[in-house]
Amino acid sequence: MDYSKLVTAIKENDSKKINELLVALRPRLIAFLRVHMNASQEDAEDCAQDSLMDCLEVIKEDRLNDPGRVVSYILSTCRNNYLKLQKKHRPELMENISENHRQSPRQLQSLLDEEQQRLLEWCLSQLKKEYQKFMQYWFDHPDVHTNKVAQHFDISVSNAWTRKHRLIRKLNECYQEKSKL
Amino acid sequence: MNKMSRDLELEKRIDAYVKGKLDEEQAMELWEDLLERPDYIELLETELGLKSIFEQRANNDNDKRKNTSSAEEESVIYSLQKYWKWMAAAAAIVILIVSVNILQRNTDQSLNNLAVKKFKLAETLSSAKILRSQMSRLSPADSLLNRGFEAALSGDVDKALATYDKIIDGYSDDPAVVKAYLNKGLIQYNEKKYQQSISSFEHVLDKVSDNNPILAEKAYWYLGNAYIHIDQLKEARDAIHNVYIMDGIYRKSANRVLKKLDYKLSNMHSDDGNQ
Repeated sequence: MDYSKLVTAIKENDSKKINELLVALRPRLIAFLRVHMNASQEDAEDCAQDSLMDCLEVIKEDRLNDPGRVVSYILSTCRNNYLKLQKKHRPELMENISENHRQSPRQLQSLLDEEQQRLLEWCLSQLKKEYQKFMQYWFDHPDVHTNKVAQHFDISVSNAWTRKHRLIRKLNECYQEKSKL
Repeated sequence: MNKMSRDLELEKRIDAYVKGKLDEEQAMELWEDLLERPDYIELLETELGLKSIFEQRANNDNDKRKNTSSAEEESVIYSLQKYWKWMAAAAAIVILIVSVNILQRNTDQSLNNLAVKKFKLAETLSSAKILRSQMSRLSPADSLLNRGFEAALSGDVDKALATYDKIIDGYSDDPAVVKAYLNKGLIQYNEKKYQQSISSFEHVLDKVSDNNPILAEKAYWYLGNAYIHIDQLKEARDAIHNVYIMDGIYRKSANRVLKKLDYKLSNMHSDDGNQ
């Protein structure tokens, strides 16, 4: 998605194009808020919507200093609005909240219900044993350099990255397919 | 996603992000790029899901190792007991009487031990479905379900219960209400409020739809355990028997508990007959 088109569409008041771009952008911002900011689905939806409205206003009024940095601006707006929302709801946690966001992204475990986790595990079990071991090794050794992983499985470093990418894609496709059943 | 173009640099950064190795500034830069590559956002979510599966497995393995070592300790104790019994065989008549008493007492104790003391909330609480499709929306009741889940896991059970009540009172026709009752029952169970938990689990069974046998099986299982705690063994047996015939994830455990319950109930009946 070329976000500079959003700036152009807003300035030209092209509401059809604006809507098209916002529809594509909104779920991505919700994902950012949920995964990175640990927002609940409800908060993420509200916050993404409010932030988009804020950004539209700023772009419309030509208050954006660097239109080339529109993505960064939208993301920062989302982040700041979410922190404000948190401050409003839980002021006592505000001192720790920025610190928390420097840690790992949210573990989806808390959001995956048993059925969904079972589906992903089922997909994992459908991989060849060799590939299951590869994934397990990758996640069990987060501090190991990819060289080591490659060495362990007797493949090149480039192949290690390719294998990981293909397996994640395959699992994602399997999961999506099974979720639709 | 069949013809997804690869960006190895982005993949390496996602990997570092999942492993918690990016600082906030780097993470924000990553997300700027991810906003332009929603296909990679989906892969990131799958990767996080996998990470949590492997972490959970590692935790389970640790628990198993702990259990194995305690089982080994028990086995040593058991061997000593066995040896002692042989040594005492000379006093056969006395031992016979003692053994009968011990057997009787063990059956009572093991029946009490049959019921789960506390359910691990992180593993048993139901949350809303995660939205993999970026166009999907979560219902307000599902959002509340997630809030309750978060509150329960952070130890704030009062807030969790209040959230579940909000779903029960405000969204009585939403499918989330069944999960709300189930989660409420689990919390009440862990708080040893067995009678209240029974009422919650019964609501689950009233409301659960036929196409969700897993939820029904869980409710019967928890219900049976709660009845054992308050010594209503006939009701416990009925619930556990339902679990057994549903032939799902708790079948083995249900079978084990049923045997003990049947033994206990038949003894109670013969006691009644004698009186």
